Amino acid sequence: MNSILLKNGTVITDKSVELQKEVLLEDGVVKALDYNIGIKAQREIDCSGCYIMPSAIDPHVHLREPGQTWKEDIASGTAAAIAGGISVIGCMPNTSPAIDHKEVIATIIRRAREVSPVKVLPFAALTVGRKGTKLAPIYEMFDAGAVAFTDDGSPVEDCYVLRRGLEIIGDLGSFYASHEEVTSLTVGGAMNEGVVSHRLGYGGIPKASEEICIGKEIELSRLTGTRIHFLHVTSGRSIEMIRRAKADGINVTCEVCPHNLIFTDEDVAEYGTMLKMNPPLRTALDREELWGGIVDGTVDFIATDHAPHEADTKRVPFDEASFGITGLQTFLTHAFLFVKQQKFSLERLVELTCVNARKLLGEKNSLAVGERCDITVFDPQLRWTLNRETNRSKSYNSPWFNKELVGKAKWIYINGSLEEL
Amino acid sequence: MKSLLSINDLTQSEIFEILDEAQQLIEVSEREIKKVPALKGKGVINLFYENSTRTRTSFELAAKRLSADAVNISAKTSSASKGETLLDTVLNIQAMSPDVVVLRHSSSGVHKFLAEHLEKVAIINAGDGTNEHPTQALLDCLALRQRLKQVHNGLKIAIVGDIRHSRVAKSNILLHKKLNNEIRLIAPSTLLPEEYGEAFDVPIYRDIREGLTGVDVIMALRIQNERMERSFISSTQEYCDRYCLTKDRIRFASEDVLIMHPGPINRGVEISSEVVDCKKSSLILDQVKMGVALRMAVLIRALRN
Repeated sequence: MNSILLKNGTVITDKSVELQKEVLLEDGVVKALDYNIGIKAQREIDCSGCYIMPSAIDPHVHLREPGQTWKEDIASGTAAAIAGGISVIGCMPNTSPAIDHKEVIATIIRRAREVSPVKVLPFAALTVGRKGTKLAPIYEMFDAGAVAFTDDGSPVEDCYVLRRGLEIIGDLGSFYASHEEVTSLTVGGAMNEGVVSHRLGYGGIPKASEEICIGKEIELSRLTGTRIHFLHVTSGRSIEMIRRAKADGINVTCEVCPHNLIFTDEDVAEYGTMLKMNPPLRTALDREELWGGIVDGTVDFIATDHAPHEADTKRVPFDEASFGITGLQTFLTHAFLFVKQQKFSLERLVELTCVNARKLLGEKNSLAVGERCDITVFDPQLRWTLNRETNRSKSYNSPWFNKELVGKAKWIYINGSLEEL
Repeated sequence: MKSLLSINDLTQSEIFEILDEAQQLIEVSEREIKKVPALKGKGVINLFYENSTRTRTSFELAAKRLSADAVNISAKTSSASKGETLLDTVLNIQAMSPDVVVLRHSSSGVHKFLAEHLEKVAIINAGDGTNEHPTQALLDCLALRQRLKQVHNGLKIAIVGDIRHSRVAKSNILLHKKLNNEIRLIAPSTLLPEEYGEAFDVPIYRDIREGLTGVDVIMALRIQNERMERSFISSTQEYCDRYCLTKDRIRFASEDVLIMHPGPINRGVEISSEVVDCKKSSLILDQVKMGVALRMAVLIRALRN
């Protein structure tokens, strides 16, 4: 009997916010959820000032294993997830080799089980080597545990190949996650194409690249009926297209990254390579429209696109630097910051960080009596710094590195065990 | 120690100070013994990651005429070809205690990037990617000053050519804005995005005759093959057809219009030979001459206490 009582906190779900409700946990299951439960538990955790919530999910993470483990590996990536109050992550297939056959999936799942209670959900490549020309063995990867298909890092530009891939995936009830880019338009680009890129003299990545690809793929989803999930959407017009597609009954979903809700291309001058990513930060108007999508439900959830890179690839001239920033440990920090900024409610926070992505992936994590549940205790007032001591990732490429942050996960109850963070 | 990374770092009066100092130094290059002791014992490293004739030679001569020790490093023949990074190269050079590093590189923003890592060395931007080439804009202005009484408050200047990829254009736009001159840009959309109008607050022209109407100065830019990825123009012939600076076209400008070009020139592409060789209006070789004096002034300024 290893029972744990969480008390004095505010219990939040996607449906409710309840002050002073207590949660009794045993062997990974919620045994009771009520005021003054009154049962003596083995451990009692004082959650004063904290939120008790279902643990978060980040369905867009680059773990770099196999093949690039100097940047990150399954052990360090999952450690960063736990530190961020996240109990499930989706990992992308742009590894080396790519996740394009069942053995890679099996290796990842096995390794994850060895090193961490975090559940790692592999996204398999749609095409062999992510080259975009030949379909990868979809059935065998699905059977091995692939939760969805994507060439993330790259688009699948051949409409014919993508169409056939969508048809097969659709039969399985799975979905295609789209890295929406038209590569011929983005060659030589390093940041959003616009007034700022012209002033700084950096190559531009036009929004039209993302918008054209989304427009094209909305039609392919219409044609095949297969769900397409748009990864890391950055442009306001993209949101508008997705909004209209959803209204039309097309089977599409989308995600937005925290950095696109916070920064714009104007911030590149100050932060340099720490704000270089693909797709890039867009304008203030786009940021406003992304927020509009979050508020009206066009955006299904927030994901980080955690992209660890060794420091040397960021300490070079801007156009030579690698694309991407880390995000696992600051994910909930920013989600709660958005609540403090009155961008959305606590219930919507839970939807965006814990519930909707799990729905898409067929996962459950219900903070309800009788249900298995991973739980995160989050202190929204806790001041901390992401630095060499607190950083769990192997990489440090975050614009928030060495900056003071407010809000941090204090405890995580994952797979039946409690861990202090 | 005063680095020169961008025209944006200079005020209008600082610009005039540099031009005035350069003006005094022009005659040094005319002497029998072309030397003054101003920078004796100082080390000037020219670190060039891109090819150059004018800029590198004039920086080297400028340093030597000031009695400094000038060292030229071309990236092609340096350990950069063995994979050594820019940052490591510059840190290693800094360890040898030079006083000034003059750097040209193909990446925009490198000087800003390096300035974060270098404390003891003055850096002069000799061209960074498609971003800036401050000494070029300054020497262009010095050349204008030899012919015009006034180079600020209302001079009408047109720049024609591959503006998108031109750091010379950009530094000149910034400079002339600071001098309250009217600067306009002329090129097809592929070589001059519409958004440049907003980015730099300048009028954009697609028709060369319209753009040249009434201007006092025309700056032509080379159509840069090495910076073109694809399809910016279908051919140099097509470009020339619409945008070559010919005698017919410059008639739309003012009668005493001055013609400039940073070099190297593609005769018959962006500018016709008769315009290049017209002694009355062409400042092209004067620009080169001014280059040495201007760079002497910039080096002295860099090391002035």
